[in-house]
Amino acid sequence: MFALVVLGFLVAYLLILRGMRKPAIALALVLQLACLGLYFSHSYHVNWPW
Amino acid sequence: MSDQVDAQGAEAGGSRSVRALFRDNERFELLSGPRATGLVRALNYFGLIVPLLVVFAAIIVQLTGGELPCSHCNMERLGYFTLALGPALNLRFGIRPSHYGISLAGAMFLGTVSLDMMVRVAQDVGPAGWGPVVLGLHVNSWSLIISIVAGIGVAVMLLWERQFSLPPSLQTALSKPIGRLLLVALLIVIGVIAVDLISVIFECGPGICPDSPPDNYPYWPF
Repeated sequence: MFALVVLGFLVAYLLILRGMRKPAIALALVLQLACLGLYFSHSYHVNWPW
Repeated sequence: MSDQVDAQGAEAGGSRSVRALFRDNERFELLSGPRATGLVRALNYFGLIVPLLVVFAAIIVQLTGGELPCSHCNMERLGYFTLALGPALNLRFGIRPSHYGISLAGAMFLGTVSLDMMVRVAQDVGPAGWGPVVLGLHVNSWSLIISIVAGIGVAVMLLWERQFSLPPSLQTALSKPIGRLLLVALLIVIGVIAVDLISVIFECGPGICPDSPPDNYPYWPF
C-alpha cells in the first residue's frame, strides 16, 4: 500500500516530464488524499488534548 | 472598476516607488521582466531540488548507517515529494497559483506528520529525543522547521502577483520546450523517488510501514 503511493509520486513526476499537466495535478490530489489515509492508518497513541 | 484600475496601472507601467505598494492605481515593479523571470526560475529550482536533497541525504544515511526509517519518517519523505511537485509543475508548464497550492498542501502534510512525531517522542522518550542529530537538532525537528519555512515561502510567492502576469514570451522561456537543466533536475528527482520506492518495497512490503523501524529489511528476498 505504502509502496503504491511512492509509485504514484514517481508516475506524477514522469507525467510532468512527458508534458501532461492536468493528469499530473489530478494524480497529485489523489496522492494527497492517500497520504492522509496513510497518516491515519499509522495512528500512534498520542494523547492529544482536544 | 477594478479592471479600470488595472488598465490604468498597466498603461502607466511599473514604478519602483514604495508608494506604489499602497496605491491601487499604481503598479509596483522592482525588477525588469527578464530579471523577475530569472528570480522566479531560480526560486523554483531551489524549491524543486532542496526537498529532494533532504530525502537523498536521508537515503544515504540509511544505506551507510544501516538505520531504516520509521513509518513517520517514510511519510515525511512523501511530504517532501509533494513539496517539490509545485516547482516542477511551474518550471515545466509556467507559473500558476494552483501549482503553489500543491506545494502548500505538501508543506502542511509534512508539518503535521513532523509535529505528530515530535509529540509522540516527547510523550514516550522525553526531552532527550529520538533519531539522528544534525546541527544540534533531531532530523524530525528539521522536518518541522523546513515545513514551516516552506509554507511561509509559498505564501510569499503567492503574494508576488507579478510572476503570474509576466509577458507570454517570458512565460514561454520558463516552460516549453523542456530545457536541458530542467530535464536533468527532473531525472534526478525521479531517480531519488525510484530509490525510495525500492527501499519502501523491501521495508514495508505490500502493506503499510511498521511503526518501529526494523533492524533489517523484512522483505529482502536474498
